[in-house]
Amino acid sequence: MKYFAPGFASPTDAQGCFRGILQALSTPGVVVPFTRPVGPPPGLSAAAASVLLTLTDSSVSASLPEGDDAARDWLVFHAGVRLAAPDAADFVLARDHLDLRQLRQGTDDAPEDGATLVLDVASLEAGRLYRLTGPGIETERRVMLPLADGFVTAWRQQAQTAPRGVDVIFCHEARILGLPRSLKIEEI
Amino acid sequence: MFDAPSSLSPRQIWLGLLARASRERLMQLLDSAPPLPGFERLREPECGMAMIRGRMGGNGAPFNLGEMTITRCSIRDEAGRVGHGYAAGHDLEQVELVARLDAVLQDEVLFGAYDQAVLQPLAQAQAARRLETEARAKATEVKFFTLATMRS
Amino acid sequence: MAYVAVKGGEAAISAAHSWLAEARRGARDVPALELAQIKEQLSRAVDRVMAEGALYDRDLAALAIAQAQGDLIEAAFLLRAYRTTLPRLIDTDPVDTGAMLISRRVSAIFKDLPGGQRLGPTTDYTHRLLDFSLETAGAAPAPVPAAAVESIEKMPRVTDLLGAESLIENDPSGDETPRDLTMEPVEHPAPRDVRLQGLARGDEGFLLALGYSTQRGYGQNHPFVGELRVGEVPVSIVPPELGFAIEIGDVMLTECQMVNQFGGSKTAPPQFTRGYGLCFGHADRKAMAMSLVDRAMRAAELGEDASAPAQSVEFVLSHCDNIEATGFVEHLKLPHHVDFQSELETIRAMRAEARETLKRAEALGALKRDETKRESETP
Repeated sequence: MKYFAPGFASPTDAQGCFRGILQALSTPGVVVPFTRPVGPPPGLSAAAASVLLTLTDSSVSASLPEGDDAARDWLVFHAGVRLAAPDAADFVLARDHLDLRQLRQGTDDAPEDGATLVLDVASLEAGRLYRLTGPGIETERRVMLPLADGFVTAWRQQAQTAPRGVDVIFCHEARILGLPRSLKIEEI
Repeated sequence: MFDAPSSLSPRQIWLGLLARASRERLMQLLDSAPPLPGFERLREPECGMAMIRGRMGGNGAPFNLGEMTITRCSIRDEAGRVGHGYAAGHDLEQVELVARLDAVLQDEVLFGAYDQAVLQPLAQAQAARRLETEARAKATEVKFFTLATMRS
Repeated sequence: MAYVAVKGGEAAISAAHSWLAEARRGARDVPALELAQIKEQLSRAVDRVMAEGALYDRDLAALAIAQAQGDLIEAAFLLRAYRTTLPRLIDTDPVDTGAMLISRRVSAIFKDLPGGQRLGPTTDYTHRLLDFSLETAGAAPAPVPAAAVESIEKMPRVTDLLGAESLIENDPSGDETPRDLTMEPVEHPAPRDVRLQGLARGDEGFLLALGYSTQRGYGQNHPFVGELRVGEVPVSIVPPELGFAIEIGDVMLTECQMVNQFGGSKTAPPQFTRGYGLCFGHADRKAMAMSLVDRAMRAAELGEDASAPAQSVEFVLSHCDNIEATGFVEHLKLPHHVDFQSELETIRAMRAEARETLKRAEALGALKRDETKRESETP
């Protein structure tokens, strides 16, 4: 292990980030800022680093891209997380679109075993306009989302095998946006 | 590991020695050593648990025996050296000293002074304590007299 | 009304705690116990609390004992509760009891063995007479004899000596990750790693009784202590940031290898079978009981009829954790007012119905007697 840097400055910072993730998944489509994110290792946004460090520990596995050695060292050091391949990991960090169907889907008895995809993107306000409906949204919410081609199709297919599926957390700088698998996404 | 020091690296040996030294003893020994450099914490000293594993039958497959308290700490000192400390128990100040010593002992130039002031006395005291246990246990060894001896 | 009841409860609890604190302190003209005294002079209690609390930390165990006024199950409860506040950082490498710094090592099956029989600081040969000289505190004990030694002697396992001739079954070796009953609930049939973990934290009295039962004919065959060893064992971990093993300290363990009558079947030659006990601290009785119960619970695996309590894995594991046991037993003290109210009403209703039935029966009986009487009187 070569890269060493501090983690959260205090446990309350981690709790604050947990609260933010909870908020993002409870009110899908709303951008939630982290007020005290962790200082990230090279290659990760503060938001992505905070999400991973808040949610992982030695009882789960995470996949980080090849070449992200510093980020891997940092996460393993602080969280004790096990590293795994993208199709087997509980938490998957990616920068580009990944086919959701290639990730862990969970089972009907244990839908929580489905992966959480942490997408570290170049912007949260790029892409196309989508209509979001479902739990956490009173009527509908219209947002710009940087979704890759095929994402909405994969998302619709995923809904057919509910409660199995993958949840997605978009990250940019120190802000996140959550898409829990119960959400309905339509292009406008 | 008592009887196989030659198969261990110096760093493995000194981390084992330091882990077993109390905070008071470390501070006492550091009085005769150069002051430790300033440092930043990479990981705050924290107390947690390690699950101790045994083996079935003593040398069979592993099983979880029960947990013990352990502390750990990681620092980076002013010269950029990274030190890690792990120790049994719950003394957060002690494990921070272990991490700071681990950092400075990795420096070839500084090693000698700290080795002499801290490591050598610890090694001697710990070895002497083990030998004393052995001596006492040996004194409780039952010497069975054979019939032949008793007859003569 | 509910608001008043809560306030009343708080005041009562506060008063109870004050009295508890005073009861814990005892008479004021007697010096207060220091934790170091408990740690040093009640070390067998500390060992037991660490074992049943399932957390090896002598200072914390001593504190728990003081806080619990010496109630060791309560102390183990305190330690087990404290355990839930600490994160699990790492698992150790399996300890090597073969590398133990022996304080005590005896075998009941071989008189002469490499390394010899070393009694250690045992109570086995005391005469169990109360020693009134201990009423005067602070008398310095006589100096402990020490042999002249230059190095630490190797102590091979007795079971390896038997194993060399294949007289004793081998324990399956391997390095698979063992299951952890603190992480997943126990599912039956429980595998041996989970059984040993459960026994190690099991109540000593319960396991002692079960072990005793196997000797009295409730299952089991003739056991022998192959080896009992007590001493410190180094604990080693491999932190991910280092990538190599380091020792973090030593723990005192007691290990018992129980050798049992040979089995043997059409396909396997007769061999001695094994029971294994390993626990925190200096605890001959616990380790021996554990090894008897371990062997008993292997009955099904060894093709034996498993009908005795000690042979029922489900019975043993479900009841050996005294924190779980006391949780359920002592919860009976909690208010069950509403439950009981419905019981009262049911019982009253049943009694009323029974009285009615009796009355009707009596009335019927009286009618019949009258009829009979009239018939007999009619000319």
